[in-house]
Amino acid sequence: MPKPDPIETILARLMPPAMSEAAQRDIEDMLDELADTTPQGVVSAPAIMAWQRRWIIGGSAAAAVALAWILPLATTSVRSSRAALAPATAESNEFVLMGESDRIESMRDEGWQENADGSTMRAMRLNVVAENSLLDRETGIVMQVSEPREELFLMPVSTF
Amino acid sequence: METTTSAWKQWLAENGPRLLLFARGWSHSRHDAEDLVQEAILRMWHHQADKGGGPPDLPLVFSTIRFCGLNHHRSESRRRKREEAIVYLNDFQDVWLDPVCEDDEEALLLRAAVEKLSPKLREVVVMKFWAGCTFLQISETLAISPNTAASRYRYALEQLSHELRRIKELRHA
Repeated sequence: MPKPDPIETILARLMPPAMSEAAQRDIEDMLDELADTTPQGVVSAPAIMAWQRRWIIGGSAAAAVALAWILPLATTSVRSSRAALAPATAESNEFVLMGESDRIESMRDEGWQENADGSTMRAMRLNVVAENSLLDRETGIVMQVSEPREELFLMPVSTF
Repeated sequence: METTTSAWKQWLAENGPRLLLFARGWSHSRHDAEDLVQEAILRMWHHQADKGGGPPDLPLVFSTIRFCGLNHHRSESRRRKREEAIVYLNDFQDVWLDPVCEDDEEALLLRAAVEKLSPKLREVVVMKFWAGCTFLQISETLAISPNTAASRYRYALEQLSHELRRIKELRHA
């Protein structure tokens, strides 16, 4: 076993401070609230077989594409668009948005860049996937809709 | 559900200080860092719902804190531009690390040196030393190679050693 660096032995004499009581309590309250409001369907989602979920997601994606084709056609006349949109609104009420989250797929440091005013910026490129969980009230099935996107963050650098 | 909540609370009690220390690198004050940790835990709760609902792995939470920190940084920059006229007072009690023994002068000197490390080096030291992550886990969290993570850690230790020696020499001069 390698001998610890002398600096590491001094670092071991430092420890991260505990969170403040208020913050700890806030988070614990939040966890209690989340546990109360999270329906059983979401937590028991793994009970749905993986192949079923794939079919549901695939079906949802196909339905969304079909809807994207149908809606512009439906707007050719005011009368027909109303007729087409009414069932869509009724259908959307059957789905409840259970949660939305942004998940980082990858994060890449693109180094420092110079801004137009001469200041230095640190660039980070993120690949993020936005995920929405939708609950079908009728069947109790939870569906996940994913939307990937890329973001570039520029942060001013003040310390070197 | 009660068991899940208890597991999360126990996980928070065990890892809260580590998460807080990491979040300090992405915030201006302890209070902001605690908000970041809370935001990250909220995101993790939803993320874990699909995976049985249990507490997440630590490296994943570090990634999420970074993401939340970046988002926070964007809105903070906008807010700062609006509030440029306000003078912020330094809170001298707002420290990142506590010494195990209160009068450990060497540890106190090193604490200041850790806070002065560049963010890139500091986050590797925090994850390696206080969170106990492997270089592989660090590399996955920070999107760098394991070798880069290891070399950043070594370089950080060298810098800390150099800084500690410099401060001691200054005091004795």
